[in-house]
Amino acid sequence: MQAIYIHIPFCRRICAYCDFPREYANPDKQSAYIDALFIELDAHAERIRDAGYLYIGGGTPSALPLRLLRRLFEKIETLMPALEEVSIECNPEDVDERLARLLSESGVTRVSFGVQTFQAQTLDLLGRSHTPEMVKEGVDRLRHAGIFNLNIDMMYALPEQSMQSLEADIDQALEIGVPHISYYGLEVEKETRFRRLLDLGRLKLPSEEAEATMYQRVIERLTLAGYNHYEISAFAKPHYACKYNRHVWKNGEYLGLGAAAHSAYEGERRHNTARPRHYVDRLLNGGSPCEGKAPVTPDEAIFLGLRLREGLDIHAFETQFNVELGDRFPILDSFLEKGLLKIDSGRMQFTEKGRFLGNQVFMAVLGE
Amino acid sequence: MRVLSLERKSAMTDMTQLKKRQKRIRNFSIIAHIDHGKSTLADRILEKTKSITSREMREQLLDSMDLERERGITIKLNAVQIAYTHSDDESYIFHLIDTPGHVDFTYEVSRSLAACEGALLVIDAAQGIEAQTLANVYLALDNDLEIIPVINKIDLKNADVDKVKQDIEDIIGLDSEEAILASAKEGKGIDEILDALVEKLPPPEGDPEAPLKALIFDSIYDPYRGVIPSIRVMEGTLRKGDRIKIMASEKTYEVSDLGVNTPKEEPKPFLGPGDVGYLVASIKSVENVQVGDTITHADTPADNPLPGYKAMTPMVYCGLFPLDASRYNDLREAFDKLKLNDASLRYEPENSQALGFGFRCGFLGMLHLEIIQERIEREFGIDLIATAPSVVYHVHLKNGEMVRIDNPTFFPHQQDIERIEEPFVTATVMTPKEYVGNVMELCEGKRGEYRDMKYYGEYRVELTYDFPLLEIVYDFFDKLKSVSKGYASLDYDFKGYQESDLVKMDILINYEKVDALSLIVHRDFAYHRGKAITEKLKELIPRQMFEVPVQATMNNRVIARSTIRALRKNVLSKCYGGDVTRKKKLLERQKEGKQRMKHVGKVEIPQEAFLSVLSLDE
Repeated sequence: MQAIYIHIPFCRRICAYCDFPREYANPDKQSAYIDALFIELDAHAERIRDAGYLYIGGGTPSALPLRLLRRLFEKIETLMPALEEVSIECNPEDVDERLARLLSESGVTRVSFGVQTFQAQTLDLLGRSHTPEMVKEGVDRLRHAGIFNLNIDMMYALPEQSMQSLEADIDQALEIGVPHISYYGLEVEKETRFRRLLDLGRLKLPSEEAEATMYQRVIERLTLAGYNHYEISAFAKPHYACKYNRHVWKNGEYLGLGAAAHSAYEGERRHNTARPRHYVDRLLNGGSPCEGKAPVTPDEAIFLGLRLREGLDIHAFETQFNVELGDRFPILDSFLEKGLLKIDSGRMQFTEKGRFLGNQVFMAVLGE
Repeated sequence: MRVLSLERKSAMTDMTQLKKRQKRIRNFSIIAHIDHGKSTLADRILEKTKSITSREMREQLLDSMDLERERGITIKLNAVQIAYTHSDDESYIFHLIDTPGHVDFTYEVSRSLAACEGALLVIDAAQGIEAQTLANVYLALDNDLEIIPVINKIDLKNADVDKVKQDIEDIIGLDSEEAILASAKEGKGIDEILDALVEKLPPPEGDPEAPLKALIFDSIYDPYRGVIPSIRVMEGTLRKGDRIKIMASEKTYEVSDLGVNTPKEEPKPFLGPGDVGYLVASIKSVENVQVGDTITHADTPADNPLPGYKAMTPMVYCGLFPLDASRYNDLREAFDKLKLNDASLRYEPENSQALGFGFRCGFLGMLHLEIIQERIEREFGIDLIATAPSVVYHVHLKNGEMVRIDNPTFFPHQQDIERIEEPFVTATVMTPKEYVGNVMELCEGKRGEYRDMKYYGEYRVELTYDFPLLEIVYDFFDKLKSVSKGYASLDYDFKGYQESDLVKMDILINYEKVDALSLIVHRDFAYHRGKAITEKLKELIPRQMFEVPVQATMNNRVIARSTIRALRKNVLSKCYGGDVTRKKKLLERQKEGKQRMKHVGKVEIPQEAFLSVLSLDE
């Protein structure tokens, strides 16, 4: 299996917009969790031996105590000797010199920072613990330790955000000079603090109009600065696209380990139980953490593939599912006509307009 | 011969016993405003007389349909027989006849009251008398009922028994000394109520040997036995096997079974004057046994029917269309089934350019409309689109002809119209003094014409207005509640047809006329209405991939316009390996929302939009 994901579901603070599986960090829980994770890793030892890409996400992987992180990396080194890309998500405030050194020594090749914005007030509203200065310090420490392949996660369409503050954010994001920037529009998800505030009328979000203008501006400025807009929200300098994620968007197989982790292989999507306690209980009692599976369907391949600028490889799709794309999804024709989709060199891609209205296509295709 | 005389002898014993029994019957209803404690009181009476357990009752009795329980009102009438042993050691037979509590069902209320000799008037000790209660008290007095006032909820902190007693004297004109103080919740006053029923209510009159007259005051539909009317025998005796005739519908049937409800069915060989029960006679359609009609014997009929029968006329019409066009036949079946149990429901096929095949339906009022709509959606699983409700207009044409129009789509051309009449009602609103200003403002905004204002005691005011029916069918009641913090109540009577300066307004979406959105408005309100509707539609119709103009027109002239800007951004910004299932669900929900919309031309219009033309927060 080429791509492996490991989920670390712990955070020191819960962000106002986040609906990912996570809970508050606590050393005993974390230690038990790592024990359980090792059992699951061992169970898949054969499958992951030749893995090329590893992504450690969360939650907040950097919220793990150093000794647990070290144990984890040692285990990874034993089980996956052929890794070419090892990504880990970190909160800027966690990256001190010791962590930077540990990551570098443990073979981590790529670090992703949750930055979101450089406006101190907005960071507070989002429930983030870092200051804008900490981002620069963290980036410097990693570079000093020899890790240059860095990403920062940014957000637009934030509460009360103006075009001016967006421009200021982009200025600072570019100034840091990391080779990868993910720029997400805020989506208010169910069961988050933002959802409650919005329902109470206490969260003022930019209009759809303003949001579109912001997205447009992000694309313009990052492209101008030499980043390739290679996925709806991902921008990278040449050769710096995230290999793990690209592999997933191309509907490649991946194995997810840990609580709430999802996998797609052997024609099936599977997911583990979401609650860390259940996950630990099951593994320590010799059980399987898997809680459900469903077949990998062709609509999902389109949904994922279209996210990439390079688009969906029609031939690969037709081979994988043994259908003609146009026969299976005749609705796609209408989007070609409406100018949301185009076909170029055997690949179906979004047009500029389509990139803004992707859900129209996704909705039409999903479940068909 | 000996056999015959024996038969005669037994028949005579029957008669004597019947007459003796008749003296121990008490028939009554409970009149109360919603939430004033009618169901709880009925519960207590049933418990006290050990008629049924409260669990059985909840399953079988007063509020038997889900919908009724959710809305806290009673739609379907029910009657129950209760055995009660009085302090004089005589055993009495009570029939508790339930009544619906909403202005849409005044006629049914009056018919069930006609089946009684008395009524318990339940008044909330904290809230006092409401207009609807008063209206029902008047109906009861019209039917010569003995009224026993019960002041309920005396355990409440804000109970004001003296004020309610004053109201009883001032507003209704009853002796408040007679009022029974009760707390149905805590079981207080129940014995006094039972005693009063025996002592104050007269036994039913009626001669068991006279020609049969039995009042139909309700019916239910049973798929195996047909329509089962609930009846009250007024004169004569009805026996199993009798051939009966329904006087207004002139249908004849043979009684295959009859009995009383306790509340389960208990078959009886006969029912005499004062008896309240059911009969089974393979009656196929509820239309043949309408509420208020009289049952008599086919061979020895009564000379006259009982007074008070009215054929039910629908007051409010609207189009109901299946969201999924392929379910048109299912919808027809749903209507056919509901009709079996609801004589006042009218429906006929309608074809809309925008909504396809559906039905034009007539209802007694908005509540009736909503109940039918919800039952179709819930019990038959058919999603519906309802168009704005309309009343029946009398359109007088220049050629001297008069046409009745209940659907704006079929409104004649302006140039052919001589004049238009619309139905008016006289409405009485009862409100505490402090909300009079708000209520009057609301009434005037609805084309209300002031008629009268009366003070009842120091705090209560009764306002009388004439309204075009259309103005109050839709959201008047809700608005009234909101401007009076829930205290004001409403009752109305049909007044007659009056001329009005009305015009037809069409709505165009993306330059296409949407027939289902057309409406009739008063000329003075047309510009304002047009503006409000186009703005509301702009809010309700989601952005499409292109710009969509919304226009209101009168005689092909645009009088208001709004523009729905094109959708600019709708794309999931995040989706990684772990998100696929979740995001897919999210998009599927969005997609379901889209599919629940109606396609008119290239534009997707949500269901709510079709009702929006009347629900404007102006």
